[in-house]
Amino acid sequence: MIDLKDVVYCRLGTRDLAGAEWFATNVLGLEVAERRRGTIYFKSDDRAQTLCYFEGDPEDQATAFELGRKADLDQVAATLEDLGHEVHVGTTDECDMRMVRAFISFRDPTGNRIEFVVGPEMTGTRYHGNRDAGITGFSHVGLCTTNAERDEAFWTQVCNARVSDRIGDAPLLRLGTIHHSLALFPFKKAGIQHINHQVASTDDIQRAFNFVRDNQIDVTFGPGAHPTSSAHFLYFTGPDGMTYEYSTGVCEIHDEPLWRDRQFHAEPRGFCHWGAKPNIAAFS
Amino acid sequence: MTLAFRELRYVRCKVDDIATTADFAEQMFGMMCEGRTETGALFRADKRFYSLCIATDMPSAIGFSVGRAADLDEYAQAFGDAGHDVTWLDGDDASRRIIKRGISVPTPNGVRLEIVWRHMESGQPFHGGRHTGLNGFSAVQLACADIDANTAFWENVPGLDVSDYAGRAQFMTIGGSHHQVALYPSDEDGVLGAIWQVETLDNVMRHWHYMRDRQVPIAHGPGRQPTSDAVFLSLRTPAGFLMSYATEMSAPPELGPRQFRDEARSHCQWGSPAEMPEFKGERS
Repeated sequence: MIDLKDVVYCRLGTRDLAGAEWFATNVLGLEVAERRRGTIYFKSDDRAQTLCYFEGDPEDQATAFELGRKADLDQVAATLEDLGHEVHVGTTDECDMRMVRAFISFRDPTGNRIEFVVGPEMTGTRYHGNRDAGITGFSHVGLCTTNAERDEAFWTQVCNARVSDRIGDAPLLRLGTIHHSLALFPFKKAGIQHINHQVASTDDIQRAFNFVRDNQIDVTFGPGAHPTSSAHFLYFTGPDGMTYEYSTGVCEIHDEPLWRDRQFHAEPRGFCHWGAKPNIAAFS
Repeated sequence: MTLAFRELRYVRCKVDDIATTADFAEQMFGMMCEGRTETGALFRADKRFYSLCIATDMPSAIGFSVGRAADLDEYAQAFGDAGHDVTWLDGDDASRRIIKRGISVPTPNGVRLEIVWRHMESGQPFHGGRHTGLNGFSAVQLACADIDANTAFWENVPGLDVSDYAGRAQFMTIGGSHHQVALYPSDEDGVLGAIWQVETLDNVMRHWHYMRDRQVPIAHGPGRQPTSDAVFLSLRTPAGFLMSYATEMSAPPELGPRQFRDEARSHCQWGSPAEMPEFKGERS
């Protein structure tokens, strides 16, 4: 079994790097960690970078997970190859571009580019965003799946993810104690469905709603409250149509043996118990 | 004089048409109707037999209770000494208010202060037509064309303490929660609105989505008052006054009243849009 610790970063191609930077700093509230030719790294917590925009095709996206302490990268690569995944071992330059010690890259059964990394860099510098968004860190991603049952089996049987709850056929998967670090949403093609940052309080969610709306950013869902994770949330649209989420108060699962995954409606009421209705393709 | 008020009991709003406002209070806001005639209607939200009265043939009023009949005499004396015109509420006047006895005094903005003794409590639990979370009656907001005359009135004989100032708006308390009376500088005189307490922030947000789905005009919020710390949502009734849901208010500040800037953020720290000039402040 491949032992995953946490989700660590997303890499997103864009045709408008300046526009993506404007959004990431002025709307989302991230901090520019570093600029390199054609690439900008953003920081949202103690990690060196948790989001990277680079000049390229917006369909070129990758999501990275940190391997558990005991995981052996060669063994993980062999396991994936045995299952028929084509595995690329990161070169020194590629590792440097990701600010990690080592990584391998492959595509999940749907075709999402996934990177399993060892030693993602931390920094001693505190995150300080451009605006007071209240961000406490990058927390989870939603990935599109063309076959939820197949992909759930990959993440739970090949890897150590556990199903916390399901909304329709979409499993919300935990790697540690956080209710979900990864969620799989049925959709017609591969891609990152949403990127989540945690904020400190429900006040931050509500302030963000008015801030984002006043800046004419498209709010696609919320403010609302998830019946699954109990988090209060806000979803809005970023560069190249990417969905960003702020949430706060996501529950943790500590009684691992006693937790039973629950089934929720694939309807607005399965996503929000305040009555908000999503205007997001993969949520309808 | 020594303050003897026990509780805020009711707000009475003079309306032209009972039906539309009664329907709003019961069906939209979710209160229980405790009696309705062609000239008036009573509504309940908690143990108080009623906390909202609408009437076509009685002046707008704010009702506070006292614990002893002697308190009425003392207040009548004090108001008389201060040159106010005191009316005793007995017989029909008392039975219509569902009290044993009381006094009524005009305040500078035309709303009457009614001090009541042996007001009716309900023996049955509150149970509205839908799940509203209503569990209390918090405050009455008064519009004051002459703010100085009104603040002087409430500080003098009734002896309420100032909790906070937001611009020239003044929040006043009989003790316990942050305020029961809020005085707002305005172009008009009268009852601006009243605030009923709900159990949780979830209730407030559910009401917001519920009202949006039904295209009920939102006058202010959802927001959080930086003064009282209450999360609120204000709706405009067909008669024009506001009815708000709010979570429990904090206690008045320990070190005495604070002066908040005369700006919209002093009325909502989340930055929600306000329809009312009273909640915008002079600087915005």
